[in-house]
Amino acid sequence: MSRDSFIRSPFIVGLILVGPLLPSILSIYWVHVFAIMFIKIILAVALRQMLLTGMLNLACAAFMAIGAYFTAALLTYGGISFWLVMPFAGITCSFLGLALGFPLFRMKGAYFFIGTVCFAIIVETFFSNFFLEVFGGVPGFTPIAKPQIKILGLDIKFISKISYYYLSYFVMICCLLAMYRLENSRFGQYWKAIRDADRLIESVGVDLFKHKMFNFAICCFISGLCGSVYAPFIGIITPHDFSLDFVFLIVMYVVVGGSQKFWGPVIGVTALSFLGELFRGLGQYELFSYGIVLVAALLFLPNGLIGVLERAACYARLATNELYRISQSRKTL
Amino acid sequence: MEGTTLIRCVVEAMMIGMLYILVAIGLTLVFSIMDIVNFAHGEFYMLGAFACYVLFAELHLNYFVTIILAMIGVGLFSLLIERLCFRPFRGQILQAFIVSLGLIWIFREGIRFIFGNWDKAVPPAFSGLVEIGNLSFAAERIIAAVIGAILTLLLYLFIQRTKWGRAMRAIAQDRDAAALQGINIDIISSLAFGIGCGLAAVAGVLLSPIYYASATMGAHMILKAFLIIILGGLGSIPGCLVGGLLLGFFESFGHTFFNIPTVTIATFAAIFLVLVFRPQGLFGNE
Repeated sequence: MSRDSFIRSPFIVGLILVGPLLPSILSIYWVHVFAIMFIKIILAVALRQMLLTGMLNLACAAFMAIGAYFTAALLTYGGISFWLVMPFAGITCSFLGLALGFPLFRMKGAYFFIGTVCFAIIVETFFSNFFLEVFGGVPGFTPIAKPQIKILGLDIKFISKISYYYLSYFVMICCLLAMYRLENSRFGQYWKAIRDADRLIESVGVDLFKHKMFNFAICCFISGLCGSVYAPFIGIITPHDFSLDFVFLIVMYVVVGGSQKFWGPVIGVTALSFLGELFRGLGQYELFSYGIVLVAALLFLPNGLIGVLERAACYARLATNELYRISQSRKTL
Repeated sequence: MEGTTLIRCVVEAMMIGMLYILVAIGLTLVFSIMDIVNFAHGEFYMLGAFACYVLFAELHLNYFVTIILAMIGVGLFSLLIERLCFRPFRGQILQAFIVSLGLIWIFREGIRFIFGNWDKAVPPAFSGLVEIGNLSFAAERIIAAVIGAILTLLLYLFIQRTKWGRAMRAIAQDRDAAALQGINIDIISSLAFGIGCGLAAVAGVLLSPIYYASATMGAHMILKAFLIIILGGLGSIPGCLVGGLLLGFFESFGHTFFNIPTVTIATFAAIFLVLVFRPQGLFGNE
């Protein structure tokens, strides 16, 4: 068992098995916290997927906003089924992303970060100031119609927190599986190669632009999906929910968790969400502590929390091996 | 009637453009010399404004003394930040960028922690009007623009004429080759960072009597500074001058004839267009 899979396998099994059981033991407050956490996990993993190509996509919250407003408007005004709107929100976002990709991917390095920030500002300004009677402007879009499902004669309406817990859990598992498969496929190899040596991989005949676009479209699709789940769950969406601070928060989760490994952002979101509950008492100075956490993580934990965990697991294994060897040698004596 | 509005717009554009340039020029200096994009640069501008609030509004020091003290104080503080947070990531754009995101939170919330949530009003530094023909302008705006222009000129002369300026240009061209020539990269990088942040602080001091000092002012300014250096090309000082004045004109005329959200969206969309046709900026050379 490699060092990587040693920590990974029990973690994944635990995640999948424990997830559906949690609401039975948790209070409604924690069910809410966990549902938000799942949405953040999806977003953080999508952000990390963009980081694989060396691109920091600060527009992912903007795409989440577009997905959220799209869903809210169609659910409330159109009365269209949520199960149709949700994938459509994702597809709309990925088409928007493809259109945006043409100017964005002409930029390199720092220009790209700032380009995505520009887009985020445009989206925030748009939802704050335009089409006020449709999107509600700064005070926010509310009320949002609740999704419904009709299955086997049952008519379930998504009202309780627990139903959204299962919805976001289901979406998270699907997204994580898809992104995990993608990363370990040929495409994932290309993305990593683009980050490390884009000139080289271009010279062996890989279409850089196409692969960057594909990555970006998937990231946008998943961000849109996140917004789509988020909007009816929270019941009110404001442009400020998807401001730059929110993206910085997601970036912090990825960095603290460890951007090298797929499960890094998952650990980052989980650990920092629990820490965030501890910071609740600090009120508005929460962000100050997050700032210190982010800078400290970059300076002292270059591989993130997952790096620390892996090293600990590695030492534990070495120690058990050593103990085993000592006990064996005692026996032979 | 139209003529006077036009002249007012032009003067306002020059004033605000000059102060934007003061912030953006430090950002572009830091980028070209250290290869980092400091998203927290606007926070030093905010620190300058609060230095003005403390020194000028509370302690009643002379305004020019305030400018010099704020420049030196924030400059020295930024040296500390550079040593602790940015030096380990020199040349690594992504990591340095993320560090600066953390610094934004630390500065903004730290200032709120110290000064409270409310914006601080700073009394006007200069009262009176400057009369040109039959038009009159607020003296403090003219003086702010003139001080901005003088500092920009001094920085230009420093970079072009002095030995240290030449070292900066050498590092901007090729860091390793410059190090081989015996240039101390660490000291010159720190110097550039300190000068850049000091200039941003001066912009804060100059603007806070005109507007006010608030914890979030850095976030607004940094976006404008980025627009300017994208327009002009990262790392180009002449590009920065042209970009700053362009943005000043764009905003001044836009805010006079259209509403602010439209101008915001149009500005950012225009930047996108520039990047589509000239990804290296108007004056970039790569």
